[in-house]
Amino acid sequence: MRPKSFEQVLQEVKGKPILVANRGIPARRICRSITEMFQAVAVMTATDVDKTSPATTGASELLLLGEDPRAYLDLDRIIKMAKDRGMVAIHPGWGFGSEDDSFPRKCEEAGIIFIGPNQGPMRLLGNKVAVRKLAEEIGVPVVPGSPEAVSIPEARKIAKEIGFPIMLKAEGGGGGRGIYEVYEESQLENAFMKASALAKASFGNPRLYVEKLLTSVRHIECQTVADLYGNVFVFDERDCTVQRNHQKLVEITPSPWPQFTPELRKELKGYAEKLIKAVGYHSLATVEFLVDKDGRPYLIEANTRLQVEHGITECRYGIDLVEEQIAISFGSKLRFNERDTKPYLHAMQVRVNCEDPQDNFSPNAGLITSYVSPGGQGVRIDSCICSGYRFPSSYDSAAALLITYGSSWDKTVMLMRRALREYKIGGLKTTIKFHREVMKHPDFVAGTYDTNFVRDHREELMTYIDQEPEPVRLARLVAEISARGYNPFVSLGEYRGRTDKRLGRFQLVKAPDTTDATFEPRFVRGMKRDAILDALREDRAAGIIHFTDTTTRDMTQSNSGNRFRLAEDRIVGPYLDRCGFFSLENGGGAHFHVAMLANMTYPFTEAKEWNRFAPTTLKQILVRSTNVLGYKPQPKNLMRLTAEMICEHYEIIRCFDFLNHVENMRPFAEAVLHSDKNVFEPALSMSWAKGFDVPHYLGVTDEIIAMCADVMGVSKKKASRSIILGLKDMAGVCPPRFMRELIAALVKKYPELVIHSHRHCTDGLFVPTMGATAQAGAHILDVGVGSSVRWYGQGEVLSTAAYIEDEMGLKTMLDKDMIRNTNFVLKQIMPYYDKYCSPYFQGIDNDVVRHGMPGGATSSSQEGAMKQGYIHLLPYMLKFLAGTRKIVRYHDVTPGSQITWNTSFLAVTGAYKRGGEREVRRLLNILDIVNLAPEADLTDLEREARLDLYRDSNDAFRNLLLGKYGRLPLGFPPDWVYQSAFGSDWKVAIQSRTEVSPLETLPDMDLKAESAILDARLGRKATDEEFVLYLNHPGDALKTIEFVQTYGDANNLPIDVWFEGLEKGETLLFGSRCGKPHVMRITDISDVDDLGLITVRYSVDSETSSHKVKVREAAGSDRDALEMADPKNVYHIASPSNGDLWVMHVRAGDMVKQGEEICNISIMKQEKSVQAPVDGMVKRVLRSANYQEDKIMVPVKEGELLVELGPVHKVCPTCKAPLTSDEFKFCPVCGQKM
Amino acid sequence: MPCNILMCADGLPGLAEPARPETLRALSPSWAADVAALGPLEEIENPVALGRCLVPVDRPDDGAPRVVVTGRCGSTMDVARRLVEAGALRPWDAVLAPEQTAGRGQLRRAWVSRPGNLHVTLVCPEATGLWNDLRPLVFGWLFAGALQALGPAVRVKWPNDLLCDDRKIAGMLVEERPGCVLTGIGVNLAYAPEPEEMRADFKVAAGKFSPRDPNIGPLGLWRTLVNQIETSYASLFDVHSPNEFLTMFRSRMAWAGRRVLVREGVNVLYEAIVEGVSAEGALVLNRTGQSIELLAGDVIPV
Repeated sequence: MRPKSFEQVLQEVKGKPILVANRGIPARRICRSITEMFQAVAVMTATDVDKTSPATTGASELLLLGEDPRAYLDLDRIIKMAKDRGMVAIHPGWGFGSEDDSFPRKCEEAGIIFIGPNQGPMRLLGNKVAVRKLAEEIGVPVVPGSPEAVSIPEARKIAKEIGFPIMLKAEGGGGGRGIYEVYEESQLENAFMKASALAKASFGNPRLYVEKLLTSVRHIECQTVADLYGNVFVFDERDCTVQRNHQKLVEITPSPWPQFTPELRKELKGYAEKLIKAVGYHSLATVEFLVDKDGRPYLIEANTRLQVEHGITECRYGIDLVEEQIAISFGSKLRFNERDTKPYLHAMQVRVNCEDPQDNFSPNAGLITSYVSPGGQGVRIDSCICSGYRFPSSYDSAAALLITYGSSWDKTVMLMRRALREYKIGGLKTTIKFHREVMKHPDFVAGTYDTNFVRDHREELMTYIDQEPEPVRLARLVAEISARGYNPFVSLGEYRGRTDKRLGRFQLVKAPDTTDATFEPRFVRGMKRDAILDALREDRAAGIIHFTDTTTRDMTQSNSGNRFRLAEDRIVGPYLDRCGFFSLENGGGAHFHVAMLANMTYPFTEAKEWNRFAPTTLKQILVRSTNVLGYKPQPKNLMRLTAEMICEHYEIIRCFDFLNHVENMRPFAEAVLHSDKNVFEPALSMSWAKGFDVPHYLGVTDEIIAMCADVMGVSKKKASRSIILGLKDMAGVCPPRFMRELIAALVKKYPELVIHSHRHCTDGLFVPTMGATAQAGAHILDVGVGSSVRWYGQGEVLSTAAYIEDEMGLKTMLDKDMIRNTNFVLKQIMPYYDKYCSPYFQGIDNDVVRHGMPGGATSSSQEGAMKQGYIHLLPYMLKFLAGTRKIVRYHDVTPGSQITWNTSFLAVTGAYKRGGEREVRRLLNILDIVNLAPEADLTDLEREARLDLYRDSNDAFRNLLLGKYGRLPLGFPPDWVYQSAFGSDWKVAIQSRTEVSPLETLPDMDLKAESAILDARLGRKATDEEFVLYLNHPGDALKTIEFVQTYGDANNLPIDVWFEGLEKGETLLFGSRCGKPHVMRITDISDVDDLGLITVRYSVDSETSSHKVKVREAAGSDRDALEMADPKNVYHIASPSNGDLWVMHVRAGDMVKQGEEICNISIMKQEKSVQAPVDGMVKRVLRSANYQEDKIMVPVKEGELLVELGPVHKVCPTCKAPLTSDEFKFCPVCGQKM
Repeated sequence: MPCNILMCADGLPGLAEPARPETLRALSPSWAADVAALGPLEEIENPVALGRCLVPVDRPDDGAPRVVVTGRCGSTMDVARRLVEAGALRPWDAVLAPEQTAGRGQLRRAWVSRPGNLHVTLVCPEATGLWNDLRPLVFGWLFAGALQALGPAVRVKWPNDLLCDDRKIAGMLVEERPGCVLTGIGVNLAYAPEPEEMRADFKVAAGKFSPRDPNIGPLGLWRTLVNQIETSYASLFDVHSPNEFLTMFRSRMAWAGRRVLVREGVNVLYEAIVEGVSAEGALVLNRTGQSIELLAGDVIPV
């Protein structure tokens, strides 16, 4: 044949159909070339799964292959169909039939041009053993090893010659498959059998050959192209060293390896040319080498087809290899030559696969929910996906080939980083994020790595977080809430339904700007401790009283736990920051826990953000001495760790202990007092009762000052100047006269001690009491902002200020207009909290003075009593509370209040269960007697009766009695209390009581071990904050961490959407962490279907999604009705596995013998006989089947109860038949008289 | 050939008729060849529970697996079970009968068992864990491999029907009881049942397995198979994990990618595409895009 010119071929091919016998990326790539210069008709094969795939857009026509996914391999059928359609040529692409050397022959027989080599050269180059032999003949170096497939003894012999490690390679393998590495002789036998069996299974050929395993090598290959007339051109190398299990991940040209010399390039190209010429090859081929660290090359194989990574060569040279390949097949003369074909760019390709690198690159198929491809200069993409495409599981996982090219290696890397940042594929996991890590790795950039790069740097390359963008995740959360109509994360139960009336959209109207430019805050963050305390003393001397705002910590509490969210803090905080408060109490106590429990927010992240949007005012936190931020004593090392983190974000650290056991506060004192920018505020927990009088509290104050002096190493006088004393009247029970008396005594004894008073307004006496407190000498008062004030929290700021200014003649430094502004904003927010999470009842309760239940605890007690059906006993419970407080003496502050309430609840309900209200009244009667009558006057009967008082108490109460929370403030209660609570063990209990701080006995936590557990659970390294949260509240911390991972920062959602969700057709504008605005619109919310699912369809920005929300169990779900066998009950016969019950031999009433077959289960055609474990009578048969009769099999689940037997009562003495009942007078079998 | 033949000369009362060389020879030409291959026989003393037996004179004495050959019986499964209970059989021993009057397949379906075909029950070794659950697949895969070595390509239809050219040439049934696991296998060697002999709802046509050596009879076939299988079984367990086994199983699976009708439980019928097997050995089907794992039930091509 005479060589044709390229133009002649163009004329010849124009308008004729050319088939690409392939799918996906290669098919699309090749169709592009077919339709460009040739203007031919590009036809693509497609099975049913592929016929509407994005890759088909490149084809002008499809050759439909039907539904069998393997149809691409049926070459005879494809060729026949191609012939019928009149195809002039077939391109095999890569994969599938491209390396089947019968393909060119079959095409030739059918009179169709095969775009590729001829059978002979293809077979020779494609056979690893043959090519190796050839290479040795023509002087191309090869990896030492066996010339052909070997047996185990031969392998052993060769291994001895070339030395371990070696590779066992399947003769029929390729593309990195079928390779086993053997490091020492002892592994050889086993590895050989394994590799052989797998090779047989995978490639139908068990034969193996041996090769030396080169340990540090680069994978370098040369692209060649040859025409039918012996012209060969070899391109510059492609470096494919970044691999995983011999699968290429990144390809680069030219090699970035600093040791890659022009001489080596010339050498490799020479070898490639020699090899191609030696077999008389035409078309494209790639010759692959390994190059060891000294630059020694070894030929490994040749590929006789277009390769996945051909694109980078095209970019380096500015050519189209496929176009050339097609032209050559039609007889065109090779257009490339050394003179004209010059490389001028660097190029790199990454393989974007639908695989999860973090899960060992496991493939994942599914719906692609969004797709944004990179572009711009220097970027090329060959992909087979688009948005809305369901990526099939039947084929390989290649989704796109992303190439960047530039004038230097650095530019190419920077381009690739940029392109990978732009590339967004939503809905499934891809290798994009993994490649981003590769591009960042210094060794990669420097080019100094080998084929073990991915394995050696696994840790660094795999530690990225692969999650969908936050707006997508938040929108899913909105869908979850909208489908239900309530937010399941708020922990308030199903507090509303989808169709319930809404409070409506929250649209904030900002307060008018009244900023007073001349207003200068008295206290600002960053002030030193002594400056703060001096200023407070100075101001008090001048009659100025300061205030702490507690609105955002605790005011919006509810029974089930909800506090102000960070979202609303962001609105209110900037106003509060400019009101002239001494401090803002914005964290700690229950708020800390609830942030995680219900608000799904990291509390310290919240605190950090507070300091950004409210940068001026001091921040204050409440901690519970040994319990820190929880409900039970914590080890010292955890206290310290938490204290350090607290000191970072808060200036004022208020610390209380419900027993006033001062030693319990010591670790916090140590952490705070050693920092000069934090102020320690130990607080007295206060009740007003017999024994809890002024001398008592002075005594506790002495202890506090002594402890602080000890910690600071200074005098008590100096210590009293260096702290603030908190007065924490949690229940709000101390009347004005008592506070006046107490503060006067404190001021007298410690004239320089700063006093900060806190009380609730439950008793209705907030303002006069705070007035008296201020007048008596307190420096700071806790208050809340008007519209947030409820009876269970602090009183109101402006009314209190008015009282002390106008009635007492004292002064304040508040910016009242700014407080009004704050209040205006709060008035818009509070209705949502009131509606969805305010306490059960909200009125004043002056009886708090008697029962002492603080704040929301009274309300939650009532709710608890109500829900458990004991509301009628509530008056008795409150009476019990009042009485028991006189017997076991401590303060009703967390966790004391919970202990007291539970004790009362259990005592009263216990009595009620024993003897109704009559018994309850008897119990309260004896409680009265115990409290009124002196011990000596009690009768024996009364002494006996009082033991009922704590008989129902729980462990928390008993631990309290034992001193496990710390020393009881007025000493242990009388012995009979122990007798009542501990029963017969009471003496042991008394002996084991202790008055030392639990800190002394609590062993330190193994922080390292805990950290490892958390990291393992999260599958990544936890942050310092996550670790501290986890140590304090493990369960709730995990809930929050996992929530944030799943949905993002819910504080980006407005309050109405957080509580109510959206309705169909509604639009939501929201922000995300990166600060960009997003829009979500719900187009439909379906009714609940049989599976218990509601489908929410919505769009986020430009992406349309749907999300299924499980709102109830599937209707008629067989799990519901399933009765499981009790494994401990020998009479229960369970299904041994999941499977089909096909025959049940017994009926109720039958007698069975041990070992008798009861029924039979079929699973994968294994018929499992289920036998009677004991002799017995069949009581119940729960599942029945008789397949032979009715052809019906009954699916059964593992562990499901199939038959229940009962014991056999008696056996007939004559015929030994078991008798099912004792009532038989004659044996039913043989008639024997019983 | 290392396989001990025991011809049950007295039969087993109530279970199986006696096996005598002359009656076996008369059954079919292939049986005649099989008996001839045994060479001279001698009678030996009662091995446990077997009565008088005829054994080849030059038999190996190496504890190799035994084949108890009986005359016509109800089902070799029942014979084998009785013999295991009596302590007469160990793992890898088998019971082979030329003819069964009540040959059975899965769910007590009848298995047409005429002289010339192979009907045999193999006593299986115990297995634990996942290997125990995978037993039906393991034996399907092993027998397919062993048969293919003797003739045309054999594929396994999940879990263990053996197909040549989409025709069923052999069937298998595993019966598990505590302490006794039996695998029955029937291979159509001489005859394939005609459509009218098969149950009404059958969907896979029966075919015949044609070994390259046309003279091989049921006994000869079994002697070859059992050796192959015992060896492969041992190396399978030594060398491979269940997961690797499943990879190998998939490569021998019939109908992958094919649309099938699935019959599951109580009258549940639907169409799906066969995708493969799961890590537990369940059949993985694609039903309109949803992946389903089938542990029990049956599939037939549409």
